[in-house]
Amino acid sequence: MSTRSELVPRFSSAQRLVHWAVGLSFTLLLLTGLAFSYPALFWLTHLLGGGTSAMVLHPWVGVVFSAAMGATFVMWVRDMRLGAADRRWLRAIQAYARHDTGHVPPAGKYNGGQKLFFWAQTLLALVFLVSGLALWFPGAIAAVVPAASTLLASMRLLHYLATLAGGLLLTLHVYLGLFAFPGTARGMVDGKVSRAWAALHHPAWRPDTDPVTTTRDAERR
Amino acid sequence: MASLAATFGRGAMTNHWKDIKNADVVLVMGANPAENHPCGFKWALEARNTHGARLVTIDPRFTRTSAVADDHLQIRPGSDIALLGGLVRHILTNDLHHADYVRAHTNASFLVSDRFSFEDGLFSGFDAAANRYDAASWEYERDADGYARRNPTLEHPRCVFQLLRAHFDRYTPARVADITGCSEEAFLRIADIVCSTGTADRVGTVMYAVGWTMHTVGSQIIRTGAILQLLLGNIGRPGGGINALRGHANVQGATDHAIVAGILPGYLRVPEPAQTSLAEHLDDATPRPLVRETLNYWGNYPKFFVSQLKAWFGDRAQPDNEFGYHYLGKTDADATWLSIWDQAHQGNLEGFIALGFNPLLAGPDVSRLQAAMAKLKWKVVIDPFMLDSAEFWKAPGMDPAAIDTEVLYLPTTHWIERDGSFTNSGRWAQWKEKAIDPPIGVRSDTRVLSELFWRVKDLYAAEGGAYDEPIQALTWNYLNPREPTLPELAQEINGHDLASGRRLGSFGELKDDGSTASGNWLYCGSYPEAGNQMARRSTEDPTGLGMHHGWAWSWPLNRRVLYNRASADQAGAAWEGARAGIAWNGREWIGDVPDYGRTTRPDAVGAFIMTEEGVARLFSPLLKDGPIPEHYEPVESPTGNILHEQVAINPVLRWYDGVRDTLAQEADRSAYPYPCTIYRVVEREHFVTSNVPYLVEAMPDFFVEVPEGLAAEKGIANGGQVRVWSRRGEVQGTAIVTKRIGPLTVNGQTVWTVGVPVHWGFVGLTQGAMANQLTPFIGDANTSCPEFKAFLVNVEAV
Amino acid sequence: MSTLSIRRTSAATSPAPGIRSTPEYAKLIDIGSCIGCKGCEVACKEWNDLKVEPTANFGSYQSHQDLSAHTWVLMRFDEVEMSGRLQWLITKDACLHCEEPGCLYACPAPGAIVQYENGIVDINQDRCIGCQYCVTGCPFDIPRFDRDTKKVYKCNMCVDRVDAGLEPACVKTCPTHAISWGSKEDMLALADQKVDLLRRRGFENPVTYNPAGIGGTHMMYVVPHGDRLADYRLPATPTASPAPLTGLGALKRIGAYVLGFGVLSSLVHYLTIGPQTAEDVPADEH
Repeated sequence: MSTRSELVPRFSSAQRLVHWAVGLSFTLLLLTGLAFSYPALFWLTHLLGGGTSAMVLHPWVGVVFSAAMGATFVMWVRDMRLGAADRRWLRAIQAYARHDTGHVPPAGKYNGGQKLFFWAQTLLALVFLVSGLALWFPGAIAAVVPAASTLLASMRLLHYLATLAGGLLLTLHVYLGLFAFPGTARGMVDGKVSRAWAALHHPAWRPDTDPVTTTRDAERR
Repeated sequence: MASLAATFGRGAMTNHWKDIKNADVVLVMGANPAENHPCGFKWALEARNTHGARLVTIDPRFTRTSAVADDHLQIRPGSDIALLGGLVRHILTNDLHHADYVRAHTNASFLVSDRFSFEDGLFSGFDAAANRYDAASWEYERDADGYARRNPTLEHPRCVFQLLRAHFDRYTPARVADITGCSEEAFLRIADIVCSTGTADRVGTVMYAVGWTMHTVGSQIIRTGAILQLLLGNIGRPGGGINALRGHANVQGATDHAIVAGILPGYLRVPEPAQTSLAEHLDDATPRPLVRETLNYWGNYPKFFVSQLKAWFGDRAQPDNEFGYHYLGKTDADATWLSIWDQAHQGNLEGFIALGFNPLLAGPDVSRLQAAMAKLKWKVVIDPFMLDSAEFWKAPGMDPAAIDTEVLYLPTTHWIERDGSFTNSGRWAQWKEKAIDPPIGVRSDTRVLSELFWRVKDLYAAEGGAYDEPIQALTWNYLNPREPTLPELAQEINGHDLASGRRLGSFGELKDDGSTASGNWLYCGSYPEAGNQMARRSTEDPTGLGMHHGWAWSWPLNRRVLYNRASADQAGAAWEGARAGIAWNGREWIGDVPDYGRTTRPDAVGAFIMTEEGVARLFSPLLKDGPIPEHYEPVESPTGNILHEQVAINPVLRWYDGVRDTLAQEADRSAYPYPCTIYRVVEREHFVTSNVPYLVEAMPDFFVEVPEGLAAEKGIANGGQVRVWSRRGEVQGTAIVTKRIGPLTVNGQTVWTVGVPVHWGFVGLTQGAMANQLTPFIGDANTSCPEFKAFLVNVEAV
Repeated sequence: MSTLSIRRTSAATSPAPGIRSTPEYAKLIDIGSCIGCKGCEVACKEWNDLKVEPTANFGSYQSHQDLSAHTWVLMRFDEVEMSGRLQWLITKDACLHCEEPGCLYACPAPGAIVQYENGIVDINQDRCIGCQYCVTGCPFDIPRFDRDTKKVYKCNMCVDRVDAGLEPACVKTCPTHAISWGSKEDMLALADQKVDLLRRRGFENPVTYNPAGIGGTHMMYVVPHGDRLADYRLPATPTASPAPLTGLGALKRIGAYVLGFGVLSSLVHYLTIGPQTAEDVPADEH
């Protein structure tokens, strides 16, 4: 048995790359999106070079985000099927929040919350994509749809709703990963977590037989 | 213009643009002022918008004018006289005429010679061999003193009033409907509006333009309109008149200065070969009174003529050389547009100078014109822009290698780059200032023409030549003889007293003894000692009728409404106080500048001072094709003439060689079933605007207007390409499929009309078909003005 | 125009600076006196130095198929039958300068769209970010996006001329006086006169088009057949904010709290329950 401080691989380098692509692009999108939504935050457009260039770049960042989300989906979808165990976990989510570990059903590599997060993220990405494309090319919409302005206004509404939801998810994600559960973020930095961390948060996960990390990374190790 | 002169004594718009606002009814026919005179048209809308005047259009198409009119009547191109004749009949059979006016101010009471007749489409005096009328039988019956006999009760069967009634009695609503293609109900609906002004308290105006003029019966269409207005008592009154809308900004000015063949400036006559002395010319050209009480102002002809000779030949014009009368060419040759090109076509013309116009596109039957131009030895085009006419040799279908014509292009200034005057339709001569500088190196027209004059004169001096006297004798007294200024020319036109050098204030001061000079008597008073009257800009309007006597200057004598004596009754009281043109206050006439002696008593002479009769002519012997208008079909017509089958078309047309073979005959009607008409659009001005990017953008392409029903029949799609062809040529363009041209029922048969605009050629920012590829090489019997408005074509989808 | 005249500004975080008391102007289009000469189209292009666009006849007298960044005024031609009579409806399509400007409300860029005290609604292209939300927000489909500059353009009522005491170029050029210009008050009075006259001339439903849903406009129309607004391409009941945008506005105010709540509750969780470090948890608790 290895020591509790021993590090085990959790995410492959490809996964980490994709994660940060999603994370950074979404953060940019969120901040510039908020800038377009709230005059008081308009200064955030300077993150992308000012109003016009933020407007020009926002959809392109959206392209990066969508592509990264696509990759995310492909990489993680098999791990993200929600099962009976996940539902039990989710029912105990308050205990999880209270750190009442004894009352939290043991999670595998991903707990029910993470899986739900995944599916919510996927759904939002689709909403962003569809509404975003419409807002990117309003002329094309107007050329084919008779009452285009109502449709486009609805797309703005949807885009904003998705922003709201995405913003909340990001907040939660960052808080949990960086502050609430120290040791988590490292998984997305060098790809490794401690055995203690794994035992606490994902007791049912067997890092030594995880196909994602035992192939190449394990060999290298 | 010929027909207005034949009716009233002067050939010009009787009223003026702003005066149209005073009308109760505005009939727009043979014109599309919204399209072609948008700025002046505002006054028609003003009449409608301020006191609810009724605005009516009669046209082959529902135009942009119709779009703002109260009512519209569609008729077949070329059926105008039938329609107007129907209106005349409507007035006479329903006693809608202004009886007091007709009795006082027209020749209704004059008795016509018993030799006069009209049978089977021909007036008396027809000479079939010579294709002309001898008008001797169209004269008035004279008394022992040589004055015309009159019948004040208007009951005599040979008085003009009864002749008119008998003549137009055939124009029943049913016949009008059959000929024009409109419905009887629609005709009567329009007739009720148009004929509602035959009372003292109502007045109507007629706006017409080349939609009337450009026909083989153009002059007679205008005559019918004039008769209509006289019967309704609308001539001479503010808000009335028959108003010829002139095309370009200065067409009236150009006409006044003899742009058309057969006249000298001021509508003086070109000497004829038989007039071998000045005395003979003056004798022929000066009319004699036909009644005792007429001013017969043309009786002053010798003063105008001699003063003009003095203006031209100065000291070389002396009593002993008949004031230079023999320096003038005396010709009976026909120098009208069609004849010039016919001569060129026959190879009889050596050279041609096109100054400020584009003859290739502006004339009928472009193929014929191209062939004619190719026979010239040289051609000079003087214009601000490169023109199709200068590049005719590379027009589509031309073979440059086969053409030897030497073409010279001289760029000159545009009017916007010069000062000078414009005389608008309403005879207002308005001085304008230069707006922008010309491009570097471009010379003015006056510079180019002066150079030409001096070089020809120098050549004569150096080499001699046949009959060089007129050139050598010509006066050319300008500060810079190589480039006279326009104020100098305007002063010369105004004229002066030769002894004192004082510029004259009125043509009343002109003399026939050689003591005065005036380039154009009509403009005498426009630039007196007091200064350039044309440059005045007072907006004061004491009459409230829009006369603005302090704004610019209008001929004659700053008079704003011609024949304004007729705005008052025989006693000199205005027919209506609120719209009084002039009125007699017991000592003098007040209001407009009176078209009458200022202190001449109302009953002293007739109201129409320019006619020998002293009144306006309902019946006029002065036109070549009859004293009373008659409907003749266009030379290409989809139908026969139901009034007189044997004389279907105007019997006294001039036929040029080979033209008959280029016309669709009766047998060709199925091959060319559709009447076609040519017109202009507001976005373009003739051809010059094909150089103006914004205007090309606003109306980019040549198009063909096709009625919806015909388009459905022919499978023509809106926006698709169509081909239109006549016996003379073809054009292709974008189809505008429209509801604005409906089907007509002409003599029981359905007739569709198509239309094409004229503005395109092969030089300029956009290229497009030349509409005049389609038009026939034939013109009006009097003016020779070409028939652009009614001919036959066929059409198909491309 | 001076900032002293700005009554409303897009995406504002503070009140607009306008303190001037200037009359409200309005342009009145008398449709029944318009002959469709396109003089206003051309005058607009000339005054504003707008580019010539390549056009092609598409089976109409209309010059362009649609408005564009380079064509701010377009005369539209429609042939319509009304009570058995043909009407050739010619309508001037251009910015109506709404009192409640949907474009301005929709604009996220501070100061990119302003409304002056005199009623003119103007786009400041230097602040425009090209999002085209104004295009969606406009109830009349007027603003047009230019791909090259990535900005939106529309009629600015010749604000430079108006500021100098002149009428807009289209008003100046109109040959038939179909366009009138003056204070909104005067134009409403004039419109009443014109409507009266139309009634006397036999028109049954003439109206002044100055729709209440957007607080009225600073370009108004006198419409001869007021019961057939759609034929003139005029919406019967335009609104400054279509329903989805009204919803969005409300949602944004709530949304700010929701996001704030998310951050705040994380903080509260951290401070009350705190982090859970795996190394601190005994192994047997697993």
